[in-house]
Amino acid sequence: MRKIILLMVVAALSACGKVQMPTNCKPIDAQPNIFPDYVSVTIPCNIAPLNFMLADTVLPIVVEAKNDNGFSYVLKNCQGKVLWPAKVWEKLKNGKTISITIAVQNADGSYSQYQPIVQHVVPDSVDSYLAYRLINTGYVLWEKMGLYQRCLENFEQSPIIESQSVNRACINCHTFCNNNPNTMMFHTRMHNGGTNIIYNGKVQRYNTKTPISMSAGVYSSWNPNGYLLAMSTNAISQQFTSGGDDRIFVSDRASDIVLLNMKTNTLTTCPRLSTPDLENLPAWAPDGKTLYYITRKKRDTYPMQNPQAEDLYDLCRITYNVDDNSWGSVDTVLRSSQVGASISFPKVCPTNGRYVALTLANRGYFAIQNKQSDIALLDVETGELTKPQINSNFAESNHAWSSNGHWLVVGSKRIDGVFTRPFIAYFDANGNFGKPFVVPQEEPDFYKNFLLNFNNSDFMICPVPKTQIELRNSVRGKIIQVEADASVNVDALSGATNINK
Amino acid sequence: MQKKITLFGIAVVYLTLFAYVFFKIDPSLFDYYQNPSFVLDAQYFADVVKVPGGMAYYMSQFVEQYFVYKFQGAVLMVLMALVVGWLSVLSVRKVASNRLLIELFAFVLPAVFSAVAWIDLLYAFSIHISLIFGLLAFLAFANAPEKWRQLVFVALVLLVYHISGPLFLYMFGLMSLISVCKMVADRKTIIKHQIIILLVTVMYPIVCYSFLLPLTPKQAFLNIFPESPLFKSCTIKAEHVALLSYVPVLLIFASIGVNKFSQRLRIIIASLAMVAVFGVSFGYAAHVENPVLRVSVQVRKASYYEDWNRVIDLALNNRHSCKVYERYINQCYNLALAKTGQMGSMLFNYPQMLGIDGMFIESPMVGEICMPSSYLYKQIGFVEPALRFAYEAETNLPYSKYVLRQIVDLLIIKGDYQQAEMYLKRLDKVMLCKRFVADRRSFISGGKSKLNRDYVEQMREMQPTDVFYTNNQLTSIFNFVRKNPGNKPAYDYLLATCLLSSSVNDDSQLATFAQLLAHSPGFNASNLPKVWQEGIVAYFASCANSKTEPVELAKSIKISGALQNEFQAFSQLRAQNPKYAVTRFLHSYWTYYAFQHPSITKNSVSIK
Repeated sequence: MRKIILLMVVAALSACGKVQMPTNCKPIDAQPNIFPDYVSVTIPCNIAPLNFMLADTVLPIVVEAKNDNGFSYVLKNCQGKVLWPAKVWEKLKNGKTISITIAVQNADGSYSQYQPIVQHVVPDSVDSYLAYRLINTGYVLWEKMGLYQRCLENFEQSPIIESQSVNRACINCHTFCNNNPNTMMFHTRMHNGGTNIIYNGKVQRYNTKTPISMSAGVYSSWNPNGYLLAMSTNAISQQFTSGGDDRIFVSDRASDIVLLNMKTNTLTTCPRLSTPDLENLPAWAPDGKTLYYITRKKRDTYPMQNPQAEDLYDLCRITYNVDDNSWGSVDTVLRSSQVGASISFPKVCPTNGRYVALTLANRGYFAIQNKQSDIALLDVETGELTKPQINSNFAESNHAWSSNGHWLVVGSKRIDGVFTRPFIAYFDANGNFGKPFVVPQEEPDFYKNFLLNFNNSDFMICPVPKTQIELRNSVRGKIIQVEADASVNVDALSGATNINK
Repeated sequence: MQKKITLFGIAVVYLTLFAYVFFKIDPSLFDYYQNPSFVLDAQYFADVVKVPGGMAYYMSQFVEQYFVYKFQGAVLMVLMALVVGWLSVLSVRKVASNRLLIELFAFVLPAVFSAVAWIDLLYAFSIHISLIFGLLAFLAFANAPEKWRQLVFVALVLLVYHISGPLFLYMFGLMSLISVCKMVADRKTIIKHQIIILLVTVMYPIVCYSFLLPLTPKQAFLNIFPESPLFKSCTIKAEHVALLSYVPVLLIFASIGVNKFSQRLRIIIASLAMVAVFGVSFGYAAHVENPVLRVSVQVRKASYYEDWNRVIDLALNNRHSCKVYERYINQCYNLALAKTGQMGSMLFNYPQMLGIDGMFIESPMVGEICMPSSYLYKQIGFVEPALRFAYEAETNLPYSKYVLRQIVDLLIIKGDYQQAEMYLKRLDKVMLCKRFVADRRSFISGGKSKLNRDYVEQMREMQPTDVFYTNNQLTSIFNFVRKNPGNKPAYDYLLATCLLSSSVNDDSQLATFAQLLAHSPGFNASNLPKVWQEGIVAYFASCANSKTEPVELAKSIKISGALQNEFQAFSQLRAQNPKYAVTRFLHSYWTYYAFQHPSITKNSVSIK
């Protein structure tokens, strides 16, 4: 009995000893197939551990990670998973590259060793938080949904607001000013409907539907000055398909762009943004004087077999003078006919305004449901449009810049073709992207099990300053009616944009 | 002797309750309608229990999942009522002992009120679990040592509020308030205890709402069961109030002295009260019973199990016996006809009051229509809309075994095994679904499975290769059938849809009907089913009226002389005595076409 106990103690002590890479491994002339794909990715210095697993096997592995500062660490896992301890990951990230060598145990107890994989660490940090909406795969109904914030430096996720606390209202289209949630908005629809805005330290619900707007605000963008909010107003419809690549086509019967001034609580527009054409998806340039948006001609009907040809958006911009509330002329920046695709979701790089990231799709603007959609980068100085190597065979859209302009988060369906996951790509000073990586999760197989979409991911420099209870109270509380700018001579219901109600 | 009689009485009551539950209520209908799923997942558990009453709901799902088996379900339901009864007796004894009559009431009332409550297929069984916890908390409070009682009470308030929900907290507070008079002798101490009880009971939900939990006011103060899509329209009903309040009422009776009455008088009063309770309860139950919903769920369940003859029997029998019309029944009936090849002969034996909206129930879009719509499309072989509706259903009921099974099978048919595996992993967390999961995994890996491979192949071949919109059901199914002209159920569904879209006001689809009919699978021009013949007769009459030439292919169709004579009689009656025309030709297409099309009757779907 004593011997057995002694043996157990020895075994336990030896198990506690330092793990070492096995010697005499049989080399494999390939890199391991890992999930998520973190091979050769460029990552920020403040990202959470990039845990991963072998994609095809659950065999025991021994992993050695080294950085170019000389730090190395060996870990062992029985299920083919690589789960970095937080402290180890911190040290690994101190270098410029992390080299990871994996040895997998064979059935006979021997080991085979893959070629090492490399991850590049850059000193440009990413904003610490990512905000997104988690939604189901259904397109019409909703039940439980919410806005969530995820700390990118660790694995903590917390709700900003969940629909259960506001009578199951639909919560959508969150937007932050300069990536700072101290000025932000999100909409609630159906129950307790309105636009909920955190501004000047207070949170308040607004009704942005006025006589000059066909609907309440939908897609929005904050002017960097922090008090002007450009919003589209849309009459949206959905068409479901019999199969093929895309299950659904979302299109608008009409849309305009309006501007909400938080200082005066007034909604204004200009005739050039509220034409019978379909102006949509406003996006401010960092100078606060240029508003990008997309537009297309209005059609009454769409041909059944080839609707693509009728549903292509151009990219435009218009100048705006904050001081006297005056608008300049419209400049068509990029025509769909030039690129052979519909342009949507313009997002201007916040550091210099030179680059506009946008989505190109074969039709419409609701690109995330369009398998063909890809991210493209427009250099507005040279007019050059490139498709960076951050795209896949599946939909990429709903992108957003980090506050330092070095990171782009992209909603991509590349993992399984169905669910949208947030991928982050590095953008260097020369205008080149690194290989994107999916936001790391504590459990490597998270994205194989998680049946919700990460919708509209956006960076935040800090957590939302209001608690769920405060936001709930606002959503359930008094609603403030936004006043229409009396000087605007546009009647959305019967004038510029003629909608059949 | 008295005790034996009492026990015998209780046994009779609960055995009767069992028979009532087994034969009349049928627990399996709750299972089918409520989709209970007991999920073994930490995140799911955390989400459920964060709402007051969530724990009771979670536990009720454990019990309710066995309702899929009728006998076990009935046993469990009666067992729940029995436990409530037993705990009620123990609670009453804490206030006054040797009160046999009150104890009898405490045992019988839960059975009676449960029987009434269970008549409602939307009854939330978490109420019974909450009640059990509320009563257990009261017993713990009553048994607590005097010096710890206040502290115990505060702890129990927290437990009852979070496990059972706010209304059960109020019940527990009220019971404690009543009982404290009997437990404490000193008047001052009684008042002190009562103030604490009152304060804590009232204040704790307020504190939770204001500072601790992001709840709605209803969740914080008034929920009798946690909100869920299924119970969205449910409000607190009389039977819920009865279940909540009978123990406090009995405690009041037990605590006040009624010894001044003679034993005989007490028995008479109690007997009268018992009769009154039974009378009022069952009168109320008869009043609130929703036979339409019951039949509808029976029909939907039979449709799910592809028992088409039962679907047809249930629909027609209940139509004749109690004039039940409901569009879910209508849709299942139509599908059953399509699946059994009887569409052309029996379509109008059940009233098609909503026209196309009785064929396809997808508009207006609400949670309840999703699974029936998904089943419909799957049954006629059209996978993409079936999957779309299944996904919508999953939004509402993310862990429903029926929804997840449907999604998995549709994804397997689509050949999307990667996504099917994702849903299998979720389904694997639902207790009682392990066998299904193993079976479908076996299919995916090429092993033996209950899912027939020939069926899957057949379904795959049916899927359209060209892309078209499916929002308009008529054009959608038309396009689907164009790819699958040999798919008789789908073809019959299309023919019926064409007929139902036509009326005297707009009969443009009759020409399509005639053309399609001539190309239908197994078409025999001289031996067409009655409804199809009636449609052709209406079409010829329409052509004659508008002086247009009938489509060439339809000309070959032979209409029996008898039917032609009937149409003449109908046309004459329609002009002279429309009411009689409707009565005499109730089950004919002509009546629908001339009198009962929704554009004429203005029937439409109403959503509560």
